[in-house]
Amino acid sequence: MSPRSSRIRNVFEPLDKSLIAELWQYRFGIPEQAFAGCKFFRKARSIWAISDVDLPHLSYETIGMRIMSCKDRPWKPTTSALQIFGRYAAKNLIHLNREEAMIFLEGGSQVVETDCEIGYVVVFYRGDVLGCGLYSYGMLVSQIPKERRMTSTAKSEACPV
Amino acid sequence: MADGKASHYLIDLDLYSVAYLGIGHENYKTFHSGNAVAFPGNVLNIDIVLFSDLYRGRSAHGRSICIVICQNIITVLCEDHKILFAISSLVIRLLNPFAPRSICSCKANLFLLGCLFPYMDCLDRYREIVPDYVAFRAIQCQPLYSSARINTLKIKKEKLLERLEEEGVLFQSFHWYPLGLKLDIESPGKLRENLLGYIHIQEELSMVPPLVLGPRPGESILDLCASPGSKTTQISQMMENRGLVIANEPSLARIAPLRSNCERLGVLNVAVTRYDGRNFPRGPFDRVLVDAPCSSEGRERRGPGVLSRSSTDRSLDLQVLQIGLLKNALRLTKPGGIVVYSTCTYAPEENELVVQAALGDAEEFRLEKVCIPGLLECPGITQWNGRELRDELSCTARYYPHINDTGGFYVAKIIKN
Repeated sequence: MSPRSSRIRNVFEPLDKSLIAELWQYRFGIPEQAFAGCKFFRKARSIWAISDVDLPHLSYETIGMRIMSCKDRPWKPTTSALQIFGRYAAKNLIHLNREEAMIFLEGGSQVVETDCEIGYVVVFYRGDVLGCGLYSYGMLVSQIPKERRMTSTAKSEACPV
Repeated sequence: MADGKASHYLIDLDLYSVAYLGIGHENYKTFHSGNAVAFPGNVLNIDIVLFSDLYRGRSAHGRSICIVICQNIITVLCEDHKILFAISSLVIRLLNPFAPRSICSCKANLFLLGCLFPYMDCLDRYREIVPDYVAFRAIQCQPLYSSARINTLKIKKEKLLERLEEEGVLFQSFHWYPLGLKLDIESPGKLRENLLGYIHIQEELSMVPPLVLGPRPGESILDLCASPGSKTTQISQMMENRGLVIANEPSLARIAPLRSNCERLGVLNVAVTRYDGRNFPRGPFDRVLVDAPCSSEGRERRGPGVLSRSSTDRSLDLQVLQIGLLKNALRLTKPGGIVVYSTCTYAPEENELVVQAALGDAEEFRLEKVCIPGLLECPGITQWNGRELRDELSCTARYYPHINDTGGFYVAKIIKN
């Protein structure tokens, strides 16, 4: 298939705010007010949020921040979005201690005890949102993007073969 | 020269090489880069030429090399007097690709020097315009400290400083910008605060253009040459995530770091486009920032080696692009809007001459004085190579590394009436 021109590829379709807010309310208990002053767009299988302004008619590469990926089911919030909106979360959140937070920031998986539902969760450390994690059957898998992970200094010690 | 007795000459391109290498120079007549140009043409037995800028690594002191030319033998020494390599045409060709291959057949050492001179000192042509030129040359060898900007979109200043203190990171606030920090740390990019987007590693002077632009919440701003997004995100931070910033970047490869920085710093009001900045189609905008691609001579302290790539020809090439960008920026601005033009180079071809050419004779634009309290700037030049430029250009600002202990920068603020 020949690569398509960005003029055709980059089509951002406006989305209704209540639609997005409902999803976030359902999964994380984030109220719709958290998204006040935001507009939403869909491009391919991603959803983007930008401040509420009139966009001039241009061909855009990105519009604001990519907040959700709907590539897989269920939808996945991005780490960047959770770092902004995640602090309003009322459920499906995990608080980590220092050691656990380090493992999480290095991109590792670990066993945690929590009463979260299975799926994507907001991960906190000392009141700050670290990012998005995937919780399933007692394991928390870090979803931090690779370029934003901390490089482990004592990896060989931490993971004996 | 004058007494005819001292037949050994030592040319030192910055005063510090002699001291650093510990060569007793009392036996030599010394020429510094300034008077090297006026070197007597009839002297053949030049013994030592010292370079400091070339091959400088990232070590704390920089790595100096010393080229010894004695009759027909040329030897290259490094700092500890070990012979790095004895000469061949290789060195000369490294220094000057246009030197003839049959260098060994050259009889006069002076000719060799002639081959070397073009690369010796591309900063030398700024001798007339830089105040305290010797200090300016000397500081090029000192590496620049790391600096960062606090991202107030994600964290409050006090809270961040507390965190840094807790982690044992040594820092110092800029005296001219409360959100700027000097960091005393090996790799600041690996700090957790950086990965979480609480700070952004950014050169000190690169924080100046957004301050001169002065965006306000709710306005529409265009950043014509955005990647990697340091200034874009600073603008967004100043607008408190309200309004709209269009970050334009033609290169697809440079979109990724721009996006990544915007997302890491929690910026919500930036839209990225990929137009050629010279033909950006739509406006108008309240303010436009043109942080033009340049020869980056002011980055020498951060990434040594920049200087060896810069030349007048390169500056003139870039000038065409820069004029195109600035002209389009002026076109895209609303009446009463502000255009800020900035580069990180000293070359007047890329600075004052660009502003002069882009403004042309149009009456509708005027230059406003650029002044950041606490940061010493030098006025833009109004004369270059015997050519008179418009007087107004003295309102623009040149920042030199030795004056504020920073990099080098040029900023012009244009207002459309």
